[in-house]
Amino acid sequence: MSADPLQALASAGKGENTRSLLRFIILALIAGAAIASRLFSVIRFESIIHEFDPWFNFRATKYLVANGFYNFWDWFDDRTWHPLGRVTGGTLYPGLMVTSGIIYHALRALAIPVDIRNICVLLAPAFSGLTAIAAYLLTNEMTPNSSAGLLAALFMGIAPGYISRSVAGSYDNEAIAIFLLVFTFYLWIKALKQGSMLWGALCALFYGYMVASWGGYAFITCLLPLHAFVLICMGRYSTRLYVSYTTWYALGTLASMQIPFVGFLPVKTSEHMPALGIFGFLQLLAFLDYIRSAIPGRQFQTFLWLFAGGTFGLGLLGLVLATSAGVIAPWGGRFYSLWDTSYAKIHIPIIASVSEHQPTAWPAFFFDLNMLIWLFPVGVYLCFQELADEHVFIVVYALFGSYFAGVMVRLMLTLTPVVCVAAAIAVSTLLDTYLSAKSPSPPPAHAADGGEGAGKKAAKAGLKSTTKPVVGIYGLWGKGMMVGAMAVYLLLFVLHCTWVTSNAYSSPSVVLASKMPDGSQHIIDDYREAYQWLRQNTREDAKIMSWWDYGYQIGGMADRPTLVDNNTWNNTHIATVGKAMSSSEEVSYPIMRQHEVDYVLVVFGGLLGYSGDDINKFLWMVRIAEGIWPDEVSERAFFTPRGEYRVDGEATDAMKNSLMYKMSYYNYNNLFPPGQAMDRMRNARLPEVGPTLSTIEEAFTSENWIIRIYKVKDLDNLGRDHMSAAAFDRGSKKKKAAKKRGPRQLRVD
Amino acid sequence: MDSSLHEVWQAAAGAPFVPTIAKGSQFSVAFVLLVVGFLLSGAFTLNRSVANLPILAVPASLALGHTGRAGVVYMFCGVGVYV
Amino acid sequence: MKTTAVLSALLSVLSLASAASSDKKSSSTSTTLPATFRPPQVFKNANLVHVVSVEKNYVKENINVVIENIDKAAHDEYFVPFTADQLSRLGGVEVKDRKDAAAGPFVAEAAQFDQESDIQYLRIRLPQPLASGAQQTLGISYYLLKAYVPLPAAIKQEEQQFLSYSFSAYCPSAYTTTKQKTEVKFPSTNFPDYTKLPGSGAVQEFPTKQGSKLIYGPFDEKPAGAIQPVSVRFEFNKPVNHVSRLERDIEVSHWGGNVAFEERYALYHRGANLSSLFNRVKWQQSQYYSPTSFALKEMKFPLRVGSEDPYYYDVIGNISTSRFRSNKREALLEIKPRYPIFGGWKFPFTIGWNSDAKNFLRRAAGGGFVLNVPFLEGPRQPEGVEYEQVEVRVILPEGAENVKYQTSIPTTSITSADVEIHKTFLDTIGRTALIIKARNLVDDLRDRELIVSYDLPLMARLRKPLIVFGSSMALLVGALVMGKLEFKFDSRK
Repeated sequence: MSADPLQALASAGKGENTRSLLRFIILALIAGAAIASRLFSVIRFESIIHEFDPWFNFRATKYLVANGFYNFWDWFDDRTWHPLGRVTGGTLYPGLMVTSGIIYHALRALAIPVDIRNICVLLAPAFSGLTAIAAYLLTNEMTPNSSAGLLAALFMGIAPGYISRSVAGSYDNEAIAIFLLVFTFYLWIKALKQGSMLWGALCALFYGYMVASWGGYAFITCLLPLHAFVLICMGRYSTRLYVSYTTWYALGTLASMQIPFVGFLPVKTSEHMPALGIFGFLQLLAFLDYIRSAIPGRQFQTFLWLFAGGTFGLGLLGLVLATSAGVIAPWGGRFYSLWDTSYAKIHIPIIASVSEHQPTAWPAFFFDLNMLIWLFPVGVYLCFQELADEHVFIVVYALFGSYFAGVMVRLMLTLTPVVCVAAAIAVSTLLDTYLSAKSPSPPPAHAADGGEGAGKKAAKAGLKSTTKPVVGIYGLWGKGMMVGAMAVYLLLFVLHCTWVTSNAYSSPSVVLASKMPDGSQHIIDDYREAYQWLRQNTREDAKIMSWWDYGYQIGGMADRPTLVDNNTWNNTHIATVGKAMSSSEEVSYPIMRQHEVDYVLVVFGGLLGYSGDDINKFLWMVRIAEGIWPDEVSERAFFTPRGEYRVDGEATDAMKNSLMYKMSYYNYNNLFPPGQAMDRMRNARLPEVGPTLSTIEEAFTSENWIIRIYKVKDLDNLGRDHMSAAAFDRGSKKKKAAKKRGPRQLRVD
Repeated sequence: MDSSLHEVWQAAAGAPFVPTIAKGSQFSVAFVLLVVGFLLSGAFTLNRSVANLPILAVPASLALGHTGRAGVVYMFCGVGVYV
Repeated sequence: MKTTAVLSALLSVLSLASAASSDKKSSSTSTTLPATFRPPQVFKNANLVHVVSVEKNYVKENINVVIENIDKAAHDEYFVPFTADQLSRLGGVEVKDRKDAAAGPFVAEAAQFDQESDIQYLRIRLPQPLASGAQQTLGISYYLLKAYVPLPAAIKQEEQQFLSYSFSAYCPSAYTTTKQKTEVKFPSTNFPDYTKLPGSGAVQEFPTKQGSKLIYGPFDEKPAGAIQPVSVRFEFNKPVNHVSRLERDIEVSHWGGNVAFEERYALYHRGANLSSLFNRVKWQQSQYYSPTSFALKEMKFPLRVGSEDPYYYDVIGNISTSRFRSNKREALLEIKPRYPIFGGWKFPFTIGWNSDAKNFLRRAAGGGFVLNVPFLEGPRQPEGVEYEQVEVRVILPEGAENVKYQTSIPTTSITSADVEIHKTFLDTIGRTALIIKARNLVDDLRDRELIVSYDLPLMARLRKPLIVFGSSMALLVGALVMGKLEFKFDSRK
């Protein structure tokens, strides 16, 4: 962390020393601020793992810490995807868990035995501090001006676009991946600028770490070749590029292939082909470079064209052949959805059903990046002005990143670093220009050190500037206005970031907060209430069926086997659960019996007005089930003839008979006076007679009814089917209530 | 199993254990000590020489964790992990 | 040939080892008696009153007995019989002289003679041998855990819970009892079923009913070992709290001037199960109409005054439903479980709090320290709480030595006490931890004290700061050395 400043400290002269120290302190404070601003949720709630995926990562980390690395590597998890199981060790990115495991053991060795949960909760903030430092280093490579670096670090530290994935408790791959992304880019630029094999190898090392941590590594895998390609097209081929790229590619690819989940993908799939292609292309260029030094100019020209055309054609042909022969996998579905945003909705509903895979709405850019979004183009423009190799990188990254961020909400994350860097360059240029108190006298010196902002015209005008010496703003008022305005913007930015972080990104979503009438905070803890109940009061191997969203949480908190979870690797299995939920009891019961389901868990927000419940997600279940069983499940049947999705008395028969509907509203009307049952989420008045259940029975309902758990009945003792058995029970109850009028008659069958 | 311990306890009634630094002020004491410690360490890293070792490094380390005025130790106590 | 020899040698070593270990085990807890042991008939119970109290969710029994030495010689060993099953659930045995309170608790210990036998004995050692023909009044009190069976075993959540308890109407004794009666105290007047026995003397039929009491007896002379099984069934519409394991950590910090408590409960409801599964609507309605239920909804922990920063969590995190009221007179921690606990349901949880060291720790005259903490502090519930296994760990500062302890918990309940090493924050050699294991305790024994004395040499006191000092010094010197070294590739030319 402190290697660079320390080295700077060691090597620099005495006057420089204090500046470095100052920079170091500022950087440390920025890192501190980055960490502190992510602690809202810990202070407001508690040290708890958030949301869904982090619960799996947490569970995997606990497994790693308890069983050691090699067992973790070979981990076959039979408590998920019942009855299939999951080869967890081979289908995850282990970087995150291994990182926490190492930290855990290192602290233990230092006699600070911190609980593994706290390490997991605080890992993301800690790494965001490192990300800020990495952003500082990266920006320093772009401009000699270290204030730009500090600004970039600050932006990186508090930009909501990054905070959204790195608050305390959001223990997800992105938590460390963004640091690795930025740092790998820094090392790449460093390697490229120096043509150094050492830096190239370091870059490959961190690339390997990145591959071990996040599926988004493909972003680097595509961006670096693209950068190299653009450089080559600009006629900037150099040995520096050759050395750094080949070092990175060779070592990085080998490193990435060590991860079981990645394996041979780098030489087999289309996503990785650009990197391989550029690698080959660079070899050719190096060869040609050598030839050129050996053969005279004219002949070389023709040779070059023929050779280049021939190899390119051959390469393309080879690629097409290999793809059609199946040696190289064609582009995956997720990849197509990057180009055609409606692809997923039609072909892979399971991807489209995740909100973070939706295309980004415009306001999201302002929400997540605020003023950086309009400073961003300025910074990119300033990079165009200089356009050294590293600036080309920023330009390429900016284009690439903006596109992807527009396609998928989640990829806003990869855009954020470049936005921060570009915006920091813009702001620092602006401030440098307006803050310099030096007034008119030496125009050339000013143009040289003042940077581009004001001297831009002067620089463009080139020779003319000598004849028109005084261009720019020298009035103190003007400067003051500009600087003041900028300062206000920066302050507003901080305010915005704090506000967004505290309001939008700091809720654990496992625990909900509400306000009591007297303004005090009231915690709604239904999820954990129900999960703890499951954990304590059901059999150790009781299988829980729920929609896949809750799979990881059930695994992590309730410690019970689940049918499907957030690792959506088996679409058919998920569709099976969808079918069981969306069909009538007669159809669902055999499915549940076949899968040995003991309990069914549904999330119901009707009492509290909680919007993330299963009835709202129900259409996705129907769609996914329909994708596999189009004859048995039909989305249309859940809409009224007028095309409305209703849950009240007007609801369609398919809706009313579906297991999900019945489980959500079973017994709910008894909570209200007759005929007044209301679903507060959907503002619907429910029918007076609630649904009846015969194959399952209510086992537990949490305090605010958010979680409802049903027990799947065993086969009937008397061999009846459940419908008639339940009808018989109900009938006998009614008779009792009616006090058996008249003499009992013999039943004749 | 010493049956006289109760008497030892009764006899010690006038000498309740009071820590060197009261609970309430542990955090501030630790904070000051740590800041001093880090500043001195910073100064030492800026100007590393054997001559500075006793002048800067030793007091820095002392502030970080020595003789009853222990910065790190009190910081642990200050944040609630009573070591 | 060779292998068998080696094997037999090994076997002999093994048997030796096991013999040694079993020997050690038995000698630490009880005395071994010959397998054919029968208590010598040297005493007679002149009068015996057996009080069985089923008011709480454990049984408290009191045997007040006038014993008389009918032998020629003086004797000091009095035996009380228990079944092996009872003995495993027996706790808190205290024996006193009813006439002479100053005599203090007598030594009582389980006298094991034959592991297989159903009848085991508790041996009471009288402080002075009782002379021939002399009489002494003993008050023997003890608790039996896991004593009840819910009847019916499964009920609806809005129904009343009934428990049944089986015991002997004649107090089990190893001696002839001339006159005795057994009293059963119930929590309420609602006890619909009980075994009826033919009366004797003036009474037509046993038992007689007095308010919330049943009285079997008085009976005339019964021989040693006479038993008359009876069972009672009574309303107990309260939770049957059973803590199968309580781990209680008491951590003393000299640097922080703090004593930290943490307790981990494995709570279980031993009452009636639900016949139909939990119904939230009915539960919410019953909360308005009839708030008494056999489900456990709340626990109250009266802590020592001066307790602060309480916390309450379980395996998946903090539990927000707790209240802490702290002022000069009390420190009351009220916690609610995540869900109401019905029969057969479990709810493990952890609570903890801090307190100033001055409330519990004093400097002893000899230069050491002496710590006085409650042995047990669980919840105070009207229905009572029983603890099957209790492990109290007193974690003393690093380097503490010469650890001695004393507790007013009945000695029969303590199964072992060891001094071990516990490693945690900033430790190098680890802290000295006194680990006391006890079993079969009940909440009546709350606030029994545990006194621990220990010495702490100066070097041990300064260990932590010295360690930090040393490591930071090493770091700085390391930086100095690193700065002097060159790490560049040498570019000659």
